[in-house]
Amino acid sequence: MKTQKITSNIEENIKLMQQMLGDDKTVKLHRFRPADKTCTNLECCLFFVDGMVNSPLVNDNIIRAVVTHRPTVAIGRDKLTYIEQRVLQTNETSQSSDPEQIIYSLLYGDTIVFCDGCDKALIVGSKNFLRRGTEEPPNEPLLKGPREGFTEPILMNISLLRRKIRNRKLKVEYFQLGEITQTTCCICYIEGCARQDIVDELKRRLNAVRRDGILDTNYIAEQIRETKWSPIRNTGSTERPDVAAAKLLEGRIAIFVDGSPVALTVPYIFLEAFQSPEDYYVNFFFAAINRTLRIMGFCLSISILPIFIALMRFHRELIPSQLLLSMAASRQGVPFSITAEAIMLLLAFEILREAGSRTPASFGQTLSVVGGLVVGQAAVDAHIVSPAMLIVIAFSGITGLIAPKLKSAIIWIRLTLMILSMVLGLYGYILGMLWLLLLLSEQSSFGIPTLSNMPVVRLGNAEDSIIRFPFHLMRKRDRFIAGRSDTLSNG
Amino acid sequence: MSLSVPLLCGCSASTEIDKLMIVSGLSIDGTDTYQITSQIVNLQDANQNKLSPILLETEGTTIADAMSALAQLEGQKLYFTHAQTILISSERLKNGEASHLIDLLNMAPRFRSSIRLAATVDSAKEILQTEPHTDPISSFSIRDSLVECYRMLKAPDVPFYVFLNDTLESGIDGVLPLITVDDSGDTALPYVCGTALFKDAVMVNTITTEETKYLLLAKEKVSNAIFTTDTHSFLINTGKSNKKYKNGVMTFEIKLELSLIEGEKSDDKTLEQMVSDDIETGIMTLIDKLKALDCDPIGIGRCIKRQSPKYWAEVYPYQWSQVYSQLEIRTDIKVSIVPSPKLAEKEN
Repeated sequence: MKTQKITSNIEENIKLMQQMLGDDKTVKLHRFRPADKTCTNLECCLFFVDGMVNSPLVNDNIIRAVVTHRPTVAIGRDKLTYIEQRVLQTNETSQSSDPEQIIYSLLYGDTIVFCDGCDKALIVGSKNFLRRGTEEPPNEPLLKGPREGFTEPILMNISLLRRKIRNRKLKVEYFQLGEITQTTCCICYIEGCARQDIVDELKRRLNAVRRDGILDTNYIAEQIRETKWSPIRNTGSTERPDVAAAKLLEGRIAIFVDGSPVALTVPYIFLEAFQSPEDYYVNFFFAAINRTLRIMGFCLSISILPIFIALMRFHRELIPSQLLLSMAASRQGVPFSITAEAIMLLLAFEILREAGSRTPASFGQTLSVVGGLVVGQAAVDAHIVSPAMLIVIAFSGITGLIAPKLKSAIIWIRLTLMILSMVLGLYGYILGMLWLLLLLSEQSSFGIPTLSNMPVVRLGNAEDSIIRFPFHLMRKRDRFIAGRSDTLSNG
Repeated sequence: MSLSVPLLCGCSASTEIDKLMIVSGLSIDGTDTYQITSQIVNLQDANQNKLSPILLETEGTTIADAMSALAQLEGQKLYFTHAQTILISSERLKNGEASHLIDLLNMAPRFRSSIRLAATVDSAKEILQTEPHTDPISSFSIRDSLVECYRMLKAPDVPFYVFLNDTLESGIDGVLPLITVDDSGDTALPYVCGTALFKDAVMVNTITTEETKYLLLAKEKVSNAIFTTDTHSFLINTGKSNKKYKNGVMTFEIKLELSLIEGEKSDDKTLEQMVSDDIETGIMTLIDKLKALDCDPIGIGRCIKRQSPKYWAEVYPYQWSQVYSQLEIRTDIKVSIVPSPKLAEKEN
């Protein structure tokens, strides 16, 4: 197969581009030359993708600049460099003779300029996509704190991050992922805070990612994690620049993908699931209560249903007599077993949750009223379910929402514990909890144990674990993540 | 190994809760045969926010016969774990029924060891049939009533494990609260009327609620209980009973800290002396009665066994009855009366 390359003949280059792009109507070709009759050897053409470029820049700073150009010095043999340095009025230009790179830049919103007699093309940065503003991320709302969130263009996200960390040690390294999409990705870290061995390991794993397309950070998250089948994630994610900046300051590394408003952060420890940015923006007493409630909510959410089923099926001796009587009474007339009832209600709750998250906000209230109240009450009245089970499922579901980062983990853990409790009673529940503990103990994120920072493991790191200490007592950077106990500058 | 887990953990024992018949109490009557009445909570009326009892009666030549007949009666599984009281008629207890009951409860894992036992003056079934105002399930009401009577020092509160220990251990005899039916009002209600005394698991006699008061003071630690004399009522803040056996003399050291609830307030020293005399007289009278019955519910023998095991080994079991009847017993009662917080506030 004949190797395609840029030649010094502009017509051949145009043909080559048209051949490579096929019949793409969005790619526009424009020929132009200086109006000055004395300047006849600057015949140019440019390619750009309609809708992706900054039109005033293309018109005024490229086309007009060339058309109105009157040479004052002799144009040398390297006409492309002459145009780049003396004619065009743009701040981002580069030369390339690689057709693949030229096409990539063209499709990414850059303008390609060919000049007759030059065997290279000039790539002029003219990207201008339609994009939304920096709104507060709907998945991470705060009552108090910054309201801005990441958006889709990667450069904008990096600029939001740079605005938070104005330090030359903030390193940003770009690379492309996706065999077909050639998506621009980057890793950010603060030199001196992040462990170099973790940075190197992350790069190694990113290099090993092989997919046709990378459309979101989760495409990467699932491929760089150590334990592929664990329900508990081992990469963090955020849509907030303040959170990403805080993670970087703790020694973590952020991964951005162009087109995704979500930044990944690694290494990730289990306690991060219970942290909220608001913990650091409110009084530490309040933050400590909130974080403790989140941990309790997680424990209740995974435990209350399995324990209830185990007690009702196997260990009724443990239920106080009066409570047992009211529970037994509430089940009178219900045709299904406790197991079937639990599975049905759990399924109904998950369907309602999923429907609620996909439904437009204007229907949300109707959904909750009809789904939660009307159907729930009707099911109890019709003796399809017992009120006690309805309360347990509702409580289990609501407490599960208190730690949204563990949403999927909670569903799987709860289901596993529930099945174990159905079969083995409290014995099964204890076995399940042991399995969970072993899973968490065994899991690590880039060599950092997921359970690190638990005060039970090491008291030294307790200041930002189950509760948040006041800032004047948070003196050390995390030993596990940063690799040493650096004293923070505010310490 | 993994497959054996479900088989070994008893998961096959699971039952739907609404398929159980929850037994709240049992009564045992009869002379030649056993007449067992089970009180079962009727959950069918629960939707009207009302629990009502159902009584099921069976008869058998042994307790096990009667119980198995009970299980066949309704076709559903009887669930005994939440049963609160077992009532046994005095007639049966006098025939040594307690030993059979102990065997039954010991062998049936479904019964709680904290289930309350009581003796009844007449038919035990009649007590179960009463309809107390506070709780339609009479077994629950009787359990609450027994706990309250213990606080009033009118009857001992005897969970099964206590009765088991007292009956099987040498040096002490068991007691049970005694219940009868009070039909003086519009509705027949259970009424605690004293204590049944046992000797080797056979009921030998009864004592009144007044005598029970001294029995409990001598026997165990009591606190937050009500102590009454003919003229005054006191709240026992702390009550310690310490038995000492030395040089062939048994001494009861009882220390009471009381708060006056009702009655004419007089000089504290006079009142303390009066209460002390009252307790001394009450205990000594009771012990004389117990000696005559050769019954030791206070645990004098157990005290000697612990404090002088060699002597106990010599006298028990053959000479113990004689030693017990001739044992010199003294009391050392110290009563202190402290003002109740409200009175103290008023005086200040």
